Amino acid sequence: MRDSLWANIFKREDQMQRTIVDRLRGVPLFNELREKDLARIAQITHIRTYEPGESVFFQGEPGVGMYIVEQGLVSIVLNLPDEEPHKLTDLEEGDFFGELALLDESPRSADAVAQTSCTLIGFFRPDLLDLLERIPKLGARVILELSRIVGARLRSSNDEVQQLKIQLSRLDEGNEIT
Amino acid sequence: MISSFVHGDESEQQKRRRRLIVIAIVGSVSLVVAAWLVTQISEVVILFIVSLLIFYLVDPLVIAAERLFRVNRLGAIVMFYAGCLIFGVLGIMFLLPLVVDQFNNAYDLLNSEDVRSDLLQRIQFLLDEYLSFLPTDDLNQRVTDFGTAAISDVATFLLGLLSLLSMSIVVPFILFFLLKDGAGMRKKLVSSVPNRFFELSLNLLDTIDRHLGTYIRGQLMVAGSVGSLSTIALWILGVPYFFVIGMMAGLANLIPYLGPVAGMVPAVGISIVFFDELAPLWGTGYNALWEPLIAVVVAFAMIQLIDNVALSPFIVSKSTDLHPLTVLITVIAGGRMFGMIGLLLGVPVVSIVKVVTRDIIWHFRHYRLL
Repeated sequence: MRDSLWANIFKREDQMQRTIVDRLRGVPLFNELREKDLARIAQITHIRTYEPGESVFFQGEPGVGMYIVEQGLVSIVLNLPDEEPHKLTDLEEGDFFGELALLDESPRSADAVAQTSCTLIGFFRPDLLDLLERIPKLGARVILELSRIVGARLRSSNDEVQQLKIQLSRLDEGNEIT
Repeated sequence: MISSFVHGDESEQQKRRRRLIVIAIVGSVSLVVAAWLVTQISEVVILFIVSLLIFYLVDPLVIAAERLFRVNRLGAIVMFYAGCLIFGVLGIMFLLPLVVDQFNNAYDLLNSEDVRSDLLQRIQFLLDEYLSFLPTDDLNQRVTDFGTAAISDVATFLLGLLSLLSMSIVVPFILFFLLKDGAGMRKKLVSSVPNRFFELSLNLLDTIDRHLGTYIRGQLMVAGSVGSLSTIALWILGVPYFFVIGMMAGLANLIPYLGPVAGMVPAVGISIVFFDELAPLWGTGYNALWEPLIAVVVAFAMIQLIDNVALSPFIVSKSTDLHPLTVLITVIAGGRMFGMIGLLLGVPVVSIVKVVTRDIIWHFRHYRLL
């Protein structure tokens, strides 16, 4: 009887661990990692549940890490002074957000609000720093992937800025001709 | 419209003020209850604090072992304990007889009436000889009272230290679980926090952990260095019980302003008592009486100089410095509540409370809860 009780508890923990590992594998930050390393990362993640309408974090508050949507729908909402809140995007299962907070404590750039009942997997800066100290190879691999993601995003932002500049100069030229 | 806006703003302010008052009342009551509990179970608290201090010192070593030998956490902890066992056995074989001998002799010495009266006679002699312009009648009584009180304090401290050593058998067990399950305990603690306070708690715990680690490691490193330097200096000067006095000087260094002087007093006292043995080392004649004493004082002054110029500025953060008045009150209150151990650990504990409080306020402000 007792054995089956313990077996059940461990089975549930194992299942949870496997679910987290599967979800982590789908995230670009971790998809280069081996199974063993994914299991190590899974051990230091936090599982959080949110009710519809509940905030995951608030714009302007110090960031502490990233979240992966395990279940449900999360909206990213930007608050501008004297304007209605502006929804930037909806994130669903497998999507991730807040990863820049893994690098430093700078304030969150938008609110994250649960739209439905959500289960999120949290991976936070203190745990990443701890990982870097204990298993530097694994920590460095995660940081390298994070740098790639941030670099790619910076390049795409640069391209967008370039495009906007070109469009703006064309508009200026058009105005001068007329 | 405007009035409703103003009214809404006021009620928000009122709510904020009410929340602050509630937090202040709950905080004060919790603090009083915690302080009362601490006094009720002082031994357990001291043991836990000691284990926590050692944990912060040892944790980086265990992490380094994990990294260097590529073992898991448990493996690294076992390696650390094995290392301690080896060093412990070697220490017991070579160092313990010396330490126990010095402790026992120092204790017997301080408890002996002959030595006490001899010490007081010598102080009296020094005063009569060189400071005869002072009103000695009144001074005699004062010196006698002060000397007796100081000696009994030191004796109580040595006894307290020995009794704590006997209790310290529990420390390795507490330390083992702190090392093994510390991170897990933190994760469990944070997992039970409501969502609104989750990121705040995670960030706060991490900041406190880092600041505490830096502070405690810094303090213990400086105390260890001052202790070692004092021991070496006293050994070179030929002062008996150099190990016990050196260790006490290192521990006393945990108390700012007062510690360095308190650490020097036993060394000077012993030098006066053993003046007959020390004097031949320093020649004879007029200077021989003062030279051993001056040498001890100069050695301690130099060690303080090294500490203040070369050690503390690089190891201990200035931001944890306490106001001299706070130090004084803490030392007196610590001594009253927990005896010599309270005297010694009072300032570090209050500094820790300062670090923690500052971190809590910073986080509450930035997470807009204050």
